Amino acid sequence: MNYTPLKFKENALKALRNTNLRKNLTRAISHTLSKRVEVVSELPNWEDLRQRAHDIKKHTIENLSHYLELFEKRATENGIKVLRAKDASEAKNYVLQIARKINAKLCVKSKSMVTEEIGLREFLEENGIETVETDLGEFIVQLAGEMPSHITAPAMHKSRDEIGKLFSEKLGVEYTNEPEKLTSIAREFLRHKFLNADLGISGANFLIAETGSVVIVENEGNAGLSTTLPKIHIVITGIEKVIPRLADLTVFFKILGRSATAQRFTSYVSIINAPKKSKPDSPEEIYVILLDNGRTNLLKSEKLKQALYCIKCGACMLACPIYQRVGGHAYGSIYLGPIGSVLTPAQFGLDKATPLPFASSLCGKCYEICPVKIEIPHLLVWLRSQAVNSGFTSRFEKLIFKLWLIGMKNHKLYKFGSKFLRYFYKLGIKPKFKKWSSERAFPELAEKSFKEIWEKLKETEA
Amino acid sequence: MKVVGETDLIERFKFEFERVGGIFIETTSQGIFNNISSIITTENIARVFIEKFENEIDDILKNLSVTQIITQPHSIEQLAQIDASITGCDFLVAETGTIVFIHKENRFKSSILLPRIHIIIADRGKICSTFEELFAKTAGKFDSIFMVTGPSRTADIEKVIVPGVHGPQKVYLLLI
Ligand code: SF4
Repeated sequence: MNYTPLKFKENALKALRNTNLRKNLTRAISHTLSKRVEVVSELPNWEDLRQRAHDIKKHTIENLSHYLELFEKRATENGIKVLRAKDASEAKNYVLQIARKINAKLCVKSKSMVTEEIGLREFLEENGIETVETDLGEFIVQLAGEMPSHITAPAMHKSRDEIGKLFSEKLGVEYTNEPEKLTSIAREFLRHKFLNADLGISGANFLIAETGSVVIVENEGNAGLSTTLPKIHIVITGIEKVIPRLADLTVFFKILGRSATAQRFTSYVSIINAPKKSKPDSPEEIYVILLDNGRTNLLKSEKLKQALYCIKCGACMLACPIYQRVGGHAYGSIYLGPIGSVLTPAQFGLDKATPLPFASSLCGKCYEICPVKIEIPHLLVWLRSQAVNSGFTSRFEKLIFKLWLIGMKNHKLYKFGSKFLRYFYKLGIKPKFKKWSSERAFPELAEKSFKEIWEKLKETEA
Repeated sequence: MKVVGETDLIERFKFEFERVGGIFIETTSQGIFNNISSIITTENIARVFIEKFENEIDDILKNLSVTQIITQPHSIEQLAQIDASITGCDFLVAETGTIVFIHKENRFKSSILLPRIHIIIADRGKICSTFEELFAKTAGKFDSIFMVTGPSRTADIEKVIVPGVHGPQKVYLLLI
């Protein structure tokens, strides 16, 4: 896949001009957000739950190596093989080695951001192993040869007509645009793959340190099948997914479904402790690959650390006014929206994604909605300052802000400046910021300044 | 603290389970045969997998009139052909309407997920009020747990909810 976070501006402009895309986005986002309000407001202790989730994550991240070791120990005792990968290529090679061992030909995958992050599907296909996405949304995106546009609703940018056309083109079925029919076409096609796959790959929503468990949350049942039918199950997940105790799950159960899909609870939860011992169910072997891939960069930074609390629910994306308008693809990265604008530069280097921290209005909606209370706007501002210090902004922008600063510090100068501007306005001479105003109206200057009106008011009242 | 009785918990379970699209039937051991027979007719079920039950339910279910009954030991290929499975369960969680399966010799995730229809037989003693209670009871001692809350579903196409994408379209719970 082509990742282009540096081209955010161009990408965004293209997205803004795509009316179809905007229609699809608005439909999906407003639907989920309004349902979310309903299921969140049922819980009178929502703020409490957010705080508890935040505290659990904070505690774990502060003691991450302890909990990772505990997880590794317990999982190994249960018969799960745990591997640590420092980067994408190490993780991919582990998977390939395991696949080669059983001479795997067909791999079924359930939704996982981490496999997306390391480009696992493409890698396996290059190595001659057919790899099929089994989550319906991911399957659609794979057929279309695109990237997911949201982390929990990957095909959100597509309409039913577009999906119907795609299916008839790629799967050779008769065109229909009914979601029920399209879903059953996918079921049929993927069922066949499930029954013949020798390798199942999934991510994990949580790892439980005290019991060595892998927890996978889903709605469709594809993760359940991917982890039950093939002989071998490989879990690939980031090191930040561990939490201390099974009982901690009760908090996340309440917030995750509500935040991710506006559901009270997801249809399926698998808590896997050990390989299956009774036939015909599999897997005979389970591997857990714990991936770093830049996550320790975040751990080292007191500021950015908290981005690792993220449970990848996708709520901040839906709440973000920028995302709402440009959609996921504009970010040109795996992790999208507000948290993606933190994670991408933090994990892979600010120089590789400099425009992203600026792709925010800093309105605070992302923080407000985040179920683990990550202070995303603060992190964005901090990343911006890093970018500016390393020379990201243009000289012109710096000059403007310097002048602005001088004006703001000096009351008389400020007053003079605004008088000056108003004078020219009255003469009909206005500054033209062409780029800025080509697609939006330029704000008019009020005839009188606030201060002038205020002073008038005081006089009349006195 | 208000003590919540078993009946209240079952009411809560029923409310939540029906809200996610489950079909709840309260019955007796004698009633099971008729209940399942009528499900078989309405859902047009020809092949079923029946899990091994420890009690008289085994004998009752043997006599269901369907084209084929599959029991243990069985293969995945056989499971792929069935229309419905009939299984027990380990716990019911009232707060979310969730049915909990703990893996053991005679309980399979494949038989829960592969068929179009899943029929679960449970007794009232299986009810827990919350996940806190559930985790306290299991104490992490299991190979794996599978939790089911209503039918399989997706909303990946224009947010329209479609049941039965990979797992069952319908989930029946018979409570004895
Ligand atoms: S930052 Fe918060 S809201 Fe955004 S995806 Fe992560 S957990 Fe969800």
